[in-house]
Amino acid sequence: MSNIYNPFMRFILITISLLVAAPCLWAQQAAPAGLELSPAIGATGSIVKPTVSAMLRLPLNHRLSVVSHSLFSLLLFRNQPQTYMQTHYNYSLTQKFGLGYALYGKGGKARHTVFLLGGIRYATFKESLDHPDLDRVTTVTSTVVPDYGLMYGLSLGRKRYTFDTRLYLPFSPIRYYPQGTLNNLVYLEFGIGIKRCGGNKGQFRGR
Amino acid sequence: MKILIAACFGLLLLLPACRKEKIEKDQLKEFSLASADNGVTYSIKVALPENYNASRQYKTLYVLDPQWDFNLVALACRKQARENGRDDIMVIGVGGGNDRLDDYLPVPLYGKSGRADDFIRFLRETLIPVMERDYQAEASRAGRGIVGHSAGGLCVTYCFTNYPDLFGTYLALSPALWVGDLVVLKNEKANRAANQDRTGIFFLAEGELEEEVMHAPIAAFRQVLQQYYTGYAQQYHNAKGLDHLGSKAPNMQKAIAFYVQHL
Repeated sequence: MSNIYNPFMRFILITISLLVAAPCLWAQQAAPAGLELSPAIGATGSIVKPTVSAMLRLPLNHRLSVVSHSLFSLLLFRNQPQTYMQTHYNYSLTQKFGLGYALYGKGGKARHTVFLLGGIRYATFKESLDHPDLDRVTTVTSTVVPDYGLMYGLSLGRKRYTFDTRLYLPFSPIRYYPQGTLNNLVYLEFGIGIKRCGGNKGQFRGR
Repeated sequence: MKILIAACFGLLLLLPACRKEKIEKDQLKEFSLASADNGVTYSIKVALPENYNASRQYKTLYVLDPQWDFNLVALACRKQARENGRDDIMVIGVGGGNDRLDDYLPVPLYGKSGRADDFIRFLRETLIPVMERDYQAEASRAGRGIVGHSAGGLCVTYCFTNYPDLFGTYLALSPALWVGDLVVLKNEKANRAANQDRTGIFFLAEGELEEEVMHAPIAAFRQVLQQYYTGYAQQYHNAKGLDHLGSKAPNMQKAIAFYVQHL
C-alpha cells in the first residue's frame, strides 16, 4: 500500500478528499434544491475491503429519482494472510448512475428505495510471491469492468440530516449469474444523508 | 406499480433457473464405490460418450467437485467431441466421500485434515480399475485426464507433481497454489528432475480479478511449466474481468476445447 507517488493513487486521494469535502460545499447551498448527498462508509463482500462512497440523488417526483454513486475501496488488511505472499496495493474506483424508486413508511420517517444502477469499475492490485526456495514472482493487474445491479437504500429521518444505509447486489457479469457474479462488488454502507437547504421545492417528505 | 417492481425483482432472482441443460438419462450411469483404504463411500457419475459400445476402449476425464461441475464438463466435452469428430471420451465425476478440503488438499487447512494422498490412492487402486474393467476405460496414463477448480485445481497440480504416472492430462482451473505455504510449488521443484521428461497435456487458467493470493503462485507455476515441461502441450488462459467463481465456466469451456483438440 505504499505507492503514494503513483499518479493514479494521487488521483484517488483527491477523489476521497472531494467525497469528504462535498458536504462542506453543500452547506454553501450551491446545489439545486431537492438534491441529496449521502456520503457513507462500508465494506465489500468477498474479499472484505473497506469502502468510502457518495451518492447524489435528484428527485424527479415523489417516487422517482436519478442518482450518481461513486465508490472507492481499498484493501487495508489481508483476508488470507500468507507468510510468503505480499500485497503491494489493492484498490478500486467505481462510478455508477441509475434510477431510484421510493416507498415511504408511516409518517414519512423511513424511505425505502430500490435503485437500478450501471457503470464501470476500475480495479488494480499488485502482489508478490517471495519464498526463499522459489523464484520471486510479482504480478500486476489493472482492469476496467462493467458494474451493474440493484441497490436497496433505507433512509431514516425527515429533517435535513438522515441516517442512510445501502446494500448493493451486483448482477454483472449477467452471463454467469449468480455463481459467476463478481463477489467483491457486493457492499453494505452506512452514512449520513444531507438534503439541500433553501426551500421545500423538490423536497419530498413522504406521507 | 409496487406489484410490477416486486415481479421484476422476483424474475431477476429466478434467472439462473432458466438455463439448465443435462446429460440424457440413458447416457448417465451412477453408482457408489467404497474406498478399500478407509471405507469412505464415493458417488460416481459416468457420462458415456454418444454411441457407447462395450467392445471398444475409451479415454477418461475425471471430474473433481462433480456436484457443481459434472454437467458443465460433460456437456462441454460432448460439444467439443462432436465438433472434433471424436466419440471416445468418457467423463467421470468423483463425488461424495469426505469433505472436499479433506480429499483435495495435501496438507491440513481450516481444521480439515488434508488427505489428498488417500483420495488419490482411492482413484488409483479402486476407481480406475473399476472403470477399466466395467466401462472399457483405456488402461494407460495417456488415456486418463483430471480436471478441477480451486481446491480441486490444487489436487490436479498435486497429481502432476507427486503422482505423475496416473494421469496424462491436467486441467487446473484457478488452483489454490497458496495452500500449505506453496507446498505444490515446492513439490514441483523437489520432483522436477524425475518428472520433467514426461509428456501430456496441461491447461492452466485463472480469473483476471482473483485477488490476494491467487495470481502470483499461478504465475510462478506457469513459469516452471513453460521452462521445464516442454514435452507437454500447454495452454494458459486468463479470463478477463472475472473472479474466482466467475472464471470457472468460461475457463472450463476453454480447458475442454484444448483437451479434446490435443488428445
